[in-house]
Amino acid sequence: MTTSETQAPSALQTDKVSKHFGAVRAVDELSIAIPSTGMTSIVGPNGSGKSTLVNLLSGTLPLDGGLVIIDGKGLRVVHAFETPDHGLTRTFQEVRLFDQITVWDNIMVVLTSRPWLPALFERAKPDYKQKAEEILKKVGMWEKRGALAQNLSYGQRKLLEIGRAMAMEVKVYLFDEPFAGLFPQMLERVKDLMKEMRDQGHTIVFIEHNMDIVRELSDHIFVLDSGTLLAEGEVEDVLNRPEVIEAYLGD
Amino acid sequence: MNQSARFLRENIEMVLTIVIIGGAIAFMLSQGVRFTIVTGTIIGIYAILGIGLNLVIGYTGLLSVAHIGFFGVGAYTVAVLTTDPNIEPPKSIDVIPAIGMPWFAALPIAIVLTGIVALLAGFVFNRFRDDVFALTTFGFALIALGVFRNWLPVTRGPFGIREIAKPSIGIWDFNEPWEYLVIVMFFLVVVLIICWLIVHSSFGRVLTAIREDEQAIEVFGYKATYYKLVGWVISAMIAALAGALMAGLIEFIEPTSYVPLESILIVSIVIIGGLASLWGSVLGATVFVLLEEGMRFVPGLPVGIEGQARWAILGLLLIVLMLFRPQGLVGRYKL
Amino acid sequence: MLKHLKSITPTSGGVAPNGVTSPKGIAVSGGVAIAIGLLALMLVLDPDRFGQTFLNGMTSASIYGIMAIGFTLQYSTVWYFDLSYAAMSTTAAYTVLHFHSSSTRDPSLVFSSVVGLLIAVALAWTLYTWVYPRLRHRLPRKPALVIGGAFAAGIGIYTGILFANPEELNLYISPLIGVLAAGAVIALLSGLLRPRVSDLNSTALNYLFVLFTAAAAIVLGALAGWIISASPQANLTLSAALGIVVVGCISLVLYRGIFFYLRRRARSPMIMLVASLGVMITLIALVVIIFTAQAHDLPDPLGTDPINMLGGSVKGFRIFMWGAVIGVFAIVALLVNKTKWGKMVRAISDDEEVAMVVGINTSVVIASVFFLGSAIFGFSGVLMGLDTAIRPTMGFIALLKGWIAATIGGLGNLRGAIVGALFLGMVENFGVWWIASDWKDAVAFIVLILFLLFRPGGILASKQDRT
Repeated sequence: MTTSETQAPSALQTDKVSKHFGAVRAVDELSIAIPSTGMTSIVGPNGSGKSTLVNLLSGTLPLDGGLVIIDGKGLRVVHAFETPDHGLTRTFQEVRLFDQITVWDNIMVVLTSRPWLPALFERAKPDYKQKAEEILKKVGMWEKRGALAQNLSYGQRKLLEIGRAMAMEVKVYLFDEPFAGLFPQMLERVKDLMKEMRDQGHTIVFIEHNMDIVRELSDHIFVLDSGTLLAEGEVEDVLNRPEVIEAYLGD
Repeated sequence: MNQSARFLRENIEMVLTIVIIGGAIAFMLSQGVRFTIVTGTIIGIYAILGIGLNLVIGYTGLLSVAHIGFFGVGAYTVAVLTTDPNIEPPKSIDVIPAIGMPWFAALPIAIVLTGIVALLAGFVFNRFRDDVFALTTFGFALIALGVFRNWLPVTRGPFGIREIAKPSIGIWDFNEPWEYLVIVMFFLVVVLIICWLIVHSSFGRVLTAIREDEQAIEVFGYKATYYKLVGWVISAMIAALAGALMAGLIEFIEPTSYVPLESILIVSIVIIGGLASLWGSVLGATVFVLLEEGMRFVPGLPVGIEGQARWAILGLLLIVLMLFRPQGLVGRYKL
Repeated sequence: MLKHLKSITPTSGGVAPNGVTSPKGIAVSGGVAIAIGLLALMLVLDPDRFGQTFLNGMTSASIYGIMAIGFTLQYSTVWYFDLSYAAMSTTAAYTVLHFHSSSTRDPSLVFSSVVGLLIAVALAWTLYTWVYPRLRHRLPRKPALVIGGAFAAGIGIYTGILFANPEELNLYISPLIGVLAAGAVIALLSGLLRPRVSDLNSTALNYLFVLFTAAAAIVLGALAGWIISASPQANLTLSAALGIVVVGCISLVLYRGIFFYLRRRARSPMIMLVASLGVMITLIALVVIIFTAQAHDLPDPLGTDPINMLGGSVKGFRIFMWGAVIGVFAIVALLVNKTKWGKMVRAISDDEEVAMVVGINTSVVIASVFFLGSAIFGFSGVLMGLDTAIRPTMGFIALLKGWIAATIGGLGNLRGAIVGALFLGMVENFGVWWIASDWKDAVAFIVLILFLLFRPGGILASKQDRT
């Protein structure tokens, strides 16, 4: 991509965020700025803090220190339930659907009123239904809408989870290993969905181990190692740097 | 042969429902109309309690053992507020203030008061899950029992309150058993409608999502704490309604009806009938009450152990359900 | 050891790190200061009552301590809360009652047969899963199974006879004691002396040794049996031991019959909780059907003369109870920390699947934990029964208290169980200084909730657990 795009205002920024588990520093004073357009990938060896970073950004884990700058606001505490208001949503590495409710309800549940009082007796509005139908057709799960989420195959679960995130209609999407364990056919489908979202102007951030996919999709890349930033920049440039190659081979 | 077995397997819920309801009606009518009316009233009250509790256990996935406490708070509030000043209590026991409110005026107060108690308790219990939640709510039931037993100036402690008014509207006082049955059925229908609307609303859907994965639903912008708290309070208020109906029915309450072990019986209504199924709670209440009443008619059972035999059967039923049907008879959620 | 924390949702994201300066830290230290102040006030107001309350606290703590140890052993192995132990404690106490209240009831044949059958099933399963695999290469299959089955059936019938004749317990149990004593003698002698005798390489001497061992075993066994049958005081101890073994066998059967299958596919600890709840209410209902719901008294084994100390007085048996909890703690701690079995238990506690992969027979080890755990609960039930009256529901509240003690001490940690029990016993007894003693249970739960809110790892939480 061109330089003008990498200098575009960042959608999401961190300022020296830290997280440690006991003595392990999973994320250590990490400062990154994720560009607001295009796809950004986060790569790094196992245990380098990629998932932890996503958990910190989405409020799934509390910050031990530092600042998350999102939507122009600097946050010391990221509450998970506020992240959609900041324009951010995510998927999980280990697919986390609502297992014992239907596929349809899995999508519907993220479309409705957030405060409890309006939700209390709220019926499914036509525009919710329309949106859910649109999403389910897009991820190819429309025929399965009556099935319980726990009865889906792994690939279908992954697709449904991405669909659930898409239904949120926010600016920034964090995908935690969206391609892991998928068959080629499903993999193409997920790629297409993500490209489509990028073309609509969303910010896509994803974690991936497969360098071919990273090369193909990402415009910008962050390489993490032991919770710190090893390298960042354009994909080809970064992936050919000696320290990056060493980090991977040394692992 | 094979086909009928398959039919049975595919329609097991319908078959169970028909068998239970049909059996219940046949049994009750065989014992006479009066028996049917009284038993039906009790079933109605426990069904109300079970439906409310199902909001917490079945839909939110929190095994609450506290509801006997809310049931008791509702019953005691009505009892204290409606104490008839014209009835002279025996000399030996404490005099409690006789307010003499009508039952229907005391009911909303009981419900609101229970709601407030539940709200306060809920702030604490909201932080727990699974077995820790179950066992700490048991603590609430114990504390509630302690209050009933020891707050002598209000509850008269172990002596109980004997002067509870029956519901009445104007000149129509519901003295006949069938009239009380009408009231209970009216409230049962109201509660069923309210709960049906809740569980089929966006709110209900979020509750089930909280049950499945609380952390994930927060990521999508819902404050799980508030949702759980509201569901909990509504459920407690319904329990208070059931308690008020029970107090009006038997016109006498004492702390022993609200010992925490009774809470396990109420929980078994929900689990046996079906988790996350309102209709299941009605079924569960039917099974539960008829088990108690039916025990008296089992031939060869020594006198005086019906109550215990019911406990034993409930226990066995729970074990069998957990092994083979963890969602209960017609449930939608497997533990 | 972090597993239990999953039941407690994280409260507020990203608050200040735990330190004295955080609001939580201030609240906790303030609470401790107030508690110490109140204790000092009590001591000044009424030193004698303070002493008596302390002694009562020790007694409560000893029961809770045993409960907490049993709970910790079970919970930190299988990670779910098993309510059926409440019934174990009750059942053991009622077994003792069975051998002491025969005048009031006719021991029915059905009851004795059921107990006998239970023992036979438990024994047969133990033999088949534990003993038989070790002898498989030395014994042909069929005779081994027949002998084992016959042995189990024999012991079952024997237990049935014991239970059918509660008044004659001493007489009927004395042969068993004799055999056990003889076995102990043989094991001791052949273990200690045989190697030295064999070194001498003399056939005659070897024969002589075998002869001597046999004679000693017979004489000592008969002597032990005779002493038991002739001493009525032994009755209580014997029935207590019998009760403990019986509940151990019940829990073996329950494990194999129910919990083993449930654990394989349990999605949440709730399914186990509800199933164990079903077991508990069934067993308690059976106890009530057999023995009625009334409170019963058991004879006081150490007399009722109180011993005066610290300005209060305490029964001799209660001092025995204080010792008993230390004994149980020492035995369990030794077993868990020093034996091969303990190593296996700890491996299962850490990760059951990994333990299975490295070749531990997890099913058998967990079954043994169930046996030992319920034996401990049975012991606590017997102690409670001998100390005060016995009731069908006594095990339930006591089990909850044991759980509270284990939780506030630090779940999954034997030392924590003892510390928590001591703490709980004291708080409960001193907490009702100014209010009716009816509130003890409520005080216990309030303390629990305070701990869960402010220090979910418990008193002895490791540093890791606290974050």
